[in-house]
Amino acid sequence: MTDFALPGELIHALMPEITLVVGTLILLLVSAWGGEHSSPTRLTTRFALGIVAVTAGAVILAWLRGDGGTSDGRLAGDGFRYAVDLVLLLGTAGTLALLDTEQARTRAYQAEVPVLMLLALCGMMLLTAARDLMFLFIGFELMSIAVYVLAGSNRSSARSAEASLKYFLLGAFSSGFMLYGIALLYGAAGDTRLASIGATAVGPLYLVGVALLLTGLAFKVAAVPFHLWTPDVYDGAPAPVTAFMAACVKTAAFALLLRIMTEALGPAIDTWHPVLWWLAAATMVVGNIVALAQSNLKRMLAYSSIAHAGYLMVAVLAYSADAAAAMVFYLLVYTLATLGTFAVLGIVSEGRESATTIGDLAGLWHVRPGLAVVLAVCLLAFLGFPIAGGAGFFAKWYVLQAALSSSTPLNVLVVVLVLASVVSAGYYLTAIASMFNQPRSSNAMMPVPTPIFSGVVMVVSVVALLVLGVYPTPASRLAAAGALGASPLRTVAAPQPAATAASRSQSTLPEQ
Amino acid sequence: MGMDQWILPALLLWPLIGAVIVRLLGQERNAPTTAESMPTDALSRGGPDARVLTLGVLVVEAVLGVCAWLLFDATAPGWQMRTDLTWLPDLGARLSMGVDGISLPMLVLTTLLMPLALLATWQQVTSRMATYGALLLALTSGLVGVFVSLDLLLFYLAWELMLIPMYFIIGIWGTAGRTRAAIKYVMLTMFGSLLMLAAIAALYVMGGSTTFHLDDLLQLSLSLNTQLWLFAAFFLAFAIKSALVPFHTWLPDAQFEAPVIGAVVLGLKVGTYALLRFAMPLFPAAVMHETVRSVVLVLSVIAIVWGALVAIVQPDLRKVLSYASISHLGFIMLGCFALTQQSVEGAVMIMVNHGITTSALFLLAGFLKERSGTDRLDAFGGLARVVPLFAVMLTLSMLSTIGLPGTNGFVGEFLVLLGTYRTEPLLAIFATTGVVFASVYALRAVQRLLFSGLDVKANGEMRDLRGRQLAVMGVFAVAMIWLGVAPQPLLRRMELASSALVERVRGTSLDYAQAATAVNTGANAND
Repeated sequence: MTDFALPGELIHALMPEITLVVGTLILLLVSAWGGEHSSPTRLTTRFALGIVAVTAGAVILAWLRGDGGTSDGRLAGDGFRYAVDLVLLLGTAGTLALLDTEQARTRAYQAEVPVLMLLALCGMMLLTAARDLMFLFIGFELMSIAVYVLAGSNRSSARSAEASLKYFLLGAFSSGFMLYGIALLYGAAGDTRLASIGATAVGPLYLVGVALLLTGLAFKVAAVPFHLWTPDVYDGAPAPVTAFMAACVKTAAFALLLRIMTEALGPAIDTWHPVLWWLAAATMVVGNIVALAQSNLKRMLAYSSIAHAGYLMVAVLAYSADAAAAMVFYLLVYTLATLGTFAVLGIVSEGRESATTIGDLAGLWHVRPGLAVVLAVCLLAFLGFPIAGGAGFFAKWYVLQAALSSSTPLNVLVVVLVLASVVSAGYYLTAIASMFNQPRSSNAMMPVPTPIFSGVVMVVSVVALLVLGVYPTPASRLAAAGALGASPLRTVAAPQPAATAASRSQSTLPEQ
Repeated sequence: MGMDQWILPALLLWPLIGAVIVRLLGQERNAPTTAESMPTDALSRGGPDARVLTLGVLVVEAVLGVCAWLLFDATAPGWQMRTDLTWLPDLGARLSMGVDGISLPMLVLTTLLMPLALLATWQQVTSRMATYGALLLALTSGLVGVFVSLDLLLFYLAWELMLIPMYFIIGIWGTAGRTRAAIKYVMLTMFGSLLMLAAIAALYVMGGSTTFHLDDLLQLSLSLNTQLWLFAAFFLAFAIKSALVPFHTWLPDAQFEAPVIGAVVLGLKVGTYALLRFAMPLFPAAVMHETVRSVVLVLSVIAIVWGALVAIVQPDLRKVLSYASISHLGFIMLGCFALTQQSVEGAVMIMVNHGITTSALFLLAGFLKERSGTDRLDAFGGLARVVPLFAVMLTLSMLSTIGLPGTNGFVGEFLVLLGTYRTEPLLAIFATTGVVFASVYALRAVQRLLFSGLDVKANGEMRDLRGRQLAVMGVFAVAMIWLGVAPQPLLRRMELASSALVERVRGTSLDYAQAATAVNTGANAND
């Protein structure tokens, strides 16, 4: 372990993260300075938005500057890192805007909420950059611990506390699995760098390590059967935090999954490919079918997010540069739709003690047509419907295309994906039908006027979704740049071309 | 850059532009006084009436449609009025449009039908006119897109574009059971169309992931097995959309719950059109496959007989019409899969004529419902004396449904039966019984409504067709008789396209059969 990069190189490679951390720490000190009661909470949120913007500038600068990785290969400086970073920053900016709305109506949230979001974001950005198991675990824990606290950030709600505890217990469990897997992989390879692990011969130690690592990751992306925490946590956590988990945590976890799979676990592809195949199929089917039975909107969205994890796993399975681009595009669209959905949800459920159900949406179109249209577009985007659902269609299209053109064609999985999407139409359309087809009940609350920040989030996500829905080229080029730069995707097969080729022919087995 | 280059993009985009205009500028002039539950869409006072604006946009669209009809050269083979614009360069998807003798009649029919249907249902939808008009225009754009697309991705987008406006038109302005009917319609259609999307993706990837153009994809040589799978996905989508037995259950529900104009649009045979345009030429070996053909042909005959039999026992006029559509669809399918030039021409003729006749009938059912709140057959009787013009129109349309010589219904059915008899005589004989059953359901409805005694007193006060409604019905009557007596202009235009289709499917599949035999012999030799 003597070949650490020079400090100067490290600082260079981590410039966006350092920008973010410095800003966050200043914010932390400033908000702590005034004490709990006098702290200008909403001002903190707005400063946090500013920090996100500056960080986005740093990321773009780093991307334009070219190689921001370290020479020892512990940190990536590829397009994949920066493209996912931008999606994460977009998601965080959106959730901060929603948080601003929440803070305007309740004093339950303190200044630490935006600070914790920024810290979690920092962990996520470290995750997208990491090509070393140690960096990776630090980023993973930084993200996770911040989000555990965020889930319980509504101090006046018992359900929020319950969600936080549940998330913490299961999350710690999954971190344990992951850490053990990391230890075993280190034992097998003698190095923590993903590239070295990817060049190691497959042995029993290696395979057990892969299995444990995969378990930990499956928990984080909420793949069936490791998904049981999701509905409870999504339901209990405050709406902006749920949006943060649905959009950003999922994005970061999938970026991590893709990088590990392609850079470190190439040699063991014939072992994990069938496993992941079944996980993806089960996640799509179970997520969508259980979502049908939900009347609570947040629980429905939780199961829908599980189903989306399944679709994204299809992209991971496709295992090509195209698939990585498809995933980045999908994550962007998913983030936009999630933000729009939760922006509407925040307004509709305002002042409500109990959970918001699909029935509470009844007749929304008759009183607030704008809100109903925004929610309908976002739900149709989740569904992957063309034109009306905008870019949601192309997100699914790129995944389908990648899956069908991968070296091990995933024909059966594509059919599962398509049929699962049909099932998902059942609950998305029920929610839409409730808004548009039913009359507003006379004792239903009138939704509050849309606060400016929520309005901005809604307009940005809907316009972006609809424009990308007829002309996805700008976003798809960005995503493709994100995948092309991910050179490791091309070098995976290099160490053991023969073994990989053989394993690929074996991994067609589940298709038959 | 002549007119023939921009007319198809104009036909596709004009309704979309119109939809935005109507939604933003349209006002409601005769909003109901109980506006509390259904407030108006008005953003500000003043501005044109949304309904008039919608009609104006649709009339311009119809004029464009007629221009396309006039520009069409019946003697030229292949696509006409072609347009090819860059759209998504990374995917290779282009805005490729063109028409031939199969799509042109459907296109013109659609553009003419929409303003007529709006005019006939002028007073039937009174709330939220701006949204209604915008949805109607988006729907028109989707229909036109289906008929003019040569690019499979563009086609898919247009195909799905039809779905959401229709969902809202049924779901918002429909009758009591609308939510269930709307969701059933969308779910079933999506089930088929998403499988078709997977098939399109597979086709695209097999074609080298560079093009969606139909002409390019037709060059692919696919194995029989691949063709069978992909054809199954396409066929399922189109069979559901066109309500082939046993995928027909959504149609009676949707047409019953939808506002009349929705029922009219649902009666347009986009599914069978897409079958002729895409599924059959793309997968000729699958179409000619012995099992596939016999299954589809038998299903068609079942649809003809079953639809007609079920139509006989329906209590409501609109349900009778839905099942009559299902029966007609059987004729269309039979004509498509019998695969002689006459039968294919007949199938396209039925698609067009069915669009005219069924629309007229649904509009008439809508008039009944508008006047007395119901279209149950047993709620009326003896209307012939009260509303003579209505009675004449209903009788004429019903006779056209049966396929009486001299009406437009006759030409198509006759051609299909004639064409089918040449290849499948037994099926043609069974299908002919459908005509007999058709006369039972049609005459039963006519007899119940018009000729038995005037047993409900309130019906004595019923108003006859007047003004707008009479004018629209007059147009329909002229069309029905004109196309029945002189179908030649229509037939002449579809001749080349139909024979090209039949040649393509029969010819290519012959090559496949030979290739398959060669491969088999080779394999046997190796053994």
